[in-house]
Amino acid sequence: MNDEIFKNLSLKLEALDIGGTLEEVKRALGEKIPPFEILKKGLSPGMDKIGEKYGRHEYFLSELAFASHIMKSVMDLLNPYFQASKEGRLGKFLIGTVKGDLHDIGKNIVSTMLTGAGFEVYDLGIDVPDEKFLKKALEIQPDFIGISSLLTTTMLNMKSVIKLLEENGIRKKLKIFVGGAVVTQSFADEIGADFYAKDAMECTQKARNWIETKKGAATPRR
Amino acid sequence: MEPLERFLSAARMEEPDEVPVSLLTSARLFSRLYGIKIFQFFHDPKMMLDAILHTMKRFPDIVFFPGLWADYGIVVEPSAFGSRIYWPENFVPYVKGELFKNPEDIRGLEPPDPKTDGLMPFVLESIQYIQKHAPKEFKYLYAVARGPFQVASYMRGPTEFLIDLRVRPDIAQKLIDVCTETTIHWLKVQLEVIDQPMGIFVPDDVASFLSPELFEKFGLPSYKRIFSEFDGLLKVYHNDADSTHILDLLSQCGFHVFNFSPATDIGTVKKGIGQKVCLMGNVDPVNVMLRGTPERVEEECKRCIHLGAPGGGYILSLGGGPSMETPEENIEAMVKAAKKYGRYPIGSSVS
Repeated sequence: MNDEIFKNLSLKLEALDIGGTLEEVKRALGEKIPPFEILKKGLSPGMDKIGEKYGRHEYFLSELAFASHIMKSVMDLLNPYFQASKEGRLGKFLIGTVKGDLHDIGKNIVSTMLTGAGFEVYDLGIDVPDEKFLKKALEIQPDFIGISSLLTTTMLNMKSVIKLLEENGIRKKLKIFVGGAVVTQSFADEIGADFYAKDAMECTQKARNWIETKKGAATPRR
Repeated sequence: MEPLERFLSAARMEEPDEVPVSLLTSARLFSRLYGIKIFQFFHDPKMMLDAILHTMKRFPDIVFFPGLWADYGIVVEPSAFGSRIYWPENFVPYVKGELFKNPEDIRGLEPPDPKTDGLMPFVLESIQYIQKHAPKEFKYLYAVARGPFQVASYMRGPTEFLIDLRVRPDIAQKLIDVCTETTIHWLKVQLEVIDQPMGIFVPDDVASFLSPELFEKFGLPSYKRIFSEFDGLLKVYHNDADSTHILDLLSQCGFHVFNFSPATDIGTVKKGIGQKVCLMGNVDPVNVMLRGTPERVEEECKRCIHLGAPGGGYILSLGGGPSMETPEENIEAMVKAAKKYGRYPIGSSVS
C-alpha cells in the first residue's frame, strides 16, 4: 500500500502534476506515514527524475522553477508534522546568494532539491551580508552552508564569508558548498570551500553522500 | 575594408575580407580602462563619452557594439516602471527587490512614458549629448531596449515569473504584453532622437529559461511583434543563456544578428539558425577572456572562426559582455586571431 503511494507520488511529481502530487501527499499523511518517509521514498525519487530530465534537456529552468513551487506547496502540508519530530532529516543546510548579488533561480532550485532530498533547508535569500551567514550559522549549527554567486565581481565575496566563519571558530564544524554560473572547481579550491557543485543535482548528491559517509564512519563496523 | 564596413557586411550574411571582431560596449570595462569608478561613468555624459572613446581608440580594429551607448546596464526599463535601483560605487547598477510581490497588481499595469519615467529621460539626454559631441568617425548609434522577459523577471522576481507562466498564465501574459509594448515604444523614442540610427539591439537572456513549449506560447509572438516593427534597420538580438533548445524558434523571430552564449554550441548554431542569421560569438567571456591566457584566447578564437565563419555571416565576439577585469592582452589576442585565422576564403568545416 505504502509502496504504491510512494510510486504514485514520485510519478506525479516527475510529471509536474501539482494537484496529483498534493493529493498523494495528503493520502500518505492520512495513512499515518511519517513525513520523512514521504520525502525520502516518494518525493526524493521524483525530484531525482526531474533532475535527470533537466540533464537530458527534457526539462528546462521553467520546469525546475515550477517543481520548486510544487515542493513549496508540499512542504506547507508536511511542515506541521515535521515540527512534531525532526527525526530522520538528513541534516541542516544553510543557503544564500552572496552580498551584492541578486540572482535567485539557481539558489532556489538547490533549496528545493535539498528539501526534496530530506534536508532541513534555511534559505537566507539574496544579497546576504557575510554577518548574516555567520549569525544564522551560530544559531542553527548547520551541517552545510551553500553560497551562490552569478557574477565575477560578487564571487569574491564568497571568500570573505568563509574567512568570517573561520575567525569565529565555526568553519571546521561545517562543510561549505559554492556554486553559480561563474564558479568553478578551481575557484572553490582557491577560496577554501569544501565542495563545488555545477548544478542543483550535483549539490544534492554530494551533500547526501557526505552525510551517508559521515553516518557510516560513526557506526561501529562489525 | 574598415572594421565597421566588415561588421556590416557580415551582418548582411556576406563574406567580408576577413572576420570582423566585435565586443559589447561595457560600462564596466570602459570605466576600468579609463581609470574611473563605474559610478562616475554614469555621473555625467561627458565622462561617459570620454571613457567610451578612450577604449574605442585603444582598440581601433574592434567594432564596439552597439556603438556609442549609454550603458546603464539592466536597470533602465525597470526604473521606468518604478523598481528600486541600487547604485554600487564600482559596479553597474542593479534592481533591488521585485516590484510586484502580489501578482494581482500586474492586472492594472500600464507601460511607462519614456520621456518622463525613471532613467529613460536621462538616457535620452545622454544619447543626445554623445551624438552631438562624438567625433564623426565614432558616431554610430543603435536604439537599445531590454527584452520583455528580462524586464518582466526583474519586476516580478525571476523564479516567481517562471512559476507564473504555468500557475497564472493570464497574469504572466499581461506582464509580457506590457513589457513587449515598452520595448517597442522605448526603441521608437530613442530612434526619434538618433540622427542616423544603425539599428536596434534587444538583449534578453531570460527567454532561454523557458522550455520550447513555453517559449513558443509566450516568447515567439512577443519577439515577432518587436522585430516586425523596425524594418529597414539592422536588428540584433543578444541572449547569453544556453539557447540550444529554442534555436529553431529563435530563427523565426525576425532579427538579423544573434549574439549567443558559450553554453550554446557554435557548430550546432551554424548548421541551424546560422544559415538564416548572422552569428556573433561566442568565446567564453569569463573562463577564456577573463581567466585565460592570450594563447588560450587564440585557440578558442580559432575554433570559433573555423566553425562559425565558413560561408560568411559571422562576427567573432564573446558570448556575453566583457568582464570588468578582462586583460588587455587577451583583447589584443582576439584581434590577432581574427587576422591570423579569419582571412576569407575560409574553407567549410561544417558538413
